[in-house]
Amino acid sequence: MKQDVQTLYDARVSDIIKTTNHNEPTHVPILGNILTWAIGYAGGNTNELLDNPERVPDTWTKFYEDVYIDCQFFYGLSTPIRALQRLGSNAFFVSSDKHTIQHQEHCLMREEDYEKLITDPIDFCVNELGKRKFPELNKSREEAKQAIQDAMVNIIRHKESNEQCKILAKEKYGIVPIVGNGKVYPVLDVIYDRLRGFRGTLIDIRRQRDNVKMACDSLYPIYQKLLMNVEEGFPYAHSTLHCPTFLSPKDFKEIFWPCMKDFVMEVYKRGSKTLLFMEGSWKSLYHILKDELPNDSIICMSEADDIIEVKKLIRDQFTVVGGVPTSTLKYGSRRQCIDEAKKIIDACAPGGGFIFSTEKSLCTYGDVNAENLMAVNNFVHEYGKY
Amino acid sequence: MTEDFKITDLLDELRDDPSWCQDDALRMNIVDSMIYFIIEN
Repeated sequence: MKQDVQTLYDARVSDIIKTTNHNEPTHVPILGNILTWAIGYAGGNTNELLDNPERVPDTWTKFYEDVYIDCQFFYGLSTPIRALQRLGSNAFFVSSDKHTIQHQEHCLMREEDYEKLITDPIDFCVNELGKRKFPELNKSREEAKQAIQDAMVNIIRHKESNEQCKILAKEKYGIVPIVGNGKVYPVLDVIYDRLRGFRGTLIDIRRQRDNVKMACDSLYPIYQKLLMNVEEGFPYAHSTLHCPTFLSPKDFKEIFWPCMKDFVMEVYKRGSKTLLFMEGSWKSLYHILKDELPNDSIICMSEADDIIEVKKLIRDQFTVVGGVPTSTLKYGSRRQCIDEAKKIIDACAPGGGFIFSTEKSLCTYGDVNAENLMAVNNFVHEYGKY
Repeated sequence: MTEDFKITDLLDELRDDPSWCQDDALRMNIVDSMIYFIIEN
């Protein structure tokens, strides 16, 4: 890496560590919460990139030429769609805009399956559900084995391509990956996202609550293993949280929270923090985080709550991440966007504990007006000097 | 009719087979991660 880029990179790492420990950095760090928007910005085509993963890094990182960013949450393409297709799944697909990766709910566990999940979660989830989900695994033994082998070869290429995005972003633009390999995946979200889906999980919590709790216990050690990948210190671990916004505080505390708290605390004990991407509103749940977690153990990236209200509520206990709503970035004037950014920095930046970003991941190119995004990030980088 | 075999057995065989991926650490890592890939997709 060139010396000037290395110096920039080191300064950015220092700023992130300072602000997430409630020390004032030199600038408010700006986090890129950008997914396939990057492909749209470059005029790329995700299907072509899936077939030619070696082209992903140059295409995906092109927006860094124009959009000011200090650190990034995710790089490259989220899902190895070709590997899934090789297994016979069409759950993920590229949208008609030619860059956004979308998915359908594909949860094939039935309400009567809990006993099997509780008794042997790997046997049920992999051997039984795997065959339900992937038609190619219902063919002959040799055909199924070949399909898995081909899928794994594709996944290796996919991962290498995303890693190259991260390396290029770092070495050419000094972009800091704020999160590393550590993943906190609370197990009720595994049931919600992967096994029973939205409707099934919320019904099960009411009709077979004990089974849901026992299923969480059975999945716990499988997802605890992911914490082995947590780096000491920086970069941080990450967690994308889906179902809490649909839970009452009582259900959250009783079923979701025990696992989440254990995993977040395990990351904290290793000297790191967990960046929480909190989908929906958490207004009824922040008090639980505040009551039960140590200062500076988490970084709260709120999707639906007003960032200034969240900062007031959390005060100096945790870092908050947020910024101008994507709806304003899309439909507002440049002046409106900058006024909003100024208001947020004035309220959230003093004393540190604040990272500027978009509240939603940018997927399709039309999610924001790119000119507004550039103007806001340039403004924040200048106005957000301490 | 579906043949009676376990996906976990196929993964074990692929873990021990360097013919498709010569890098032992990478091969073991990717096979181990397939448990999560199958659960999560």
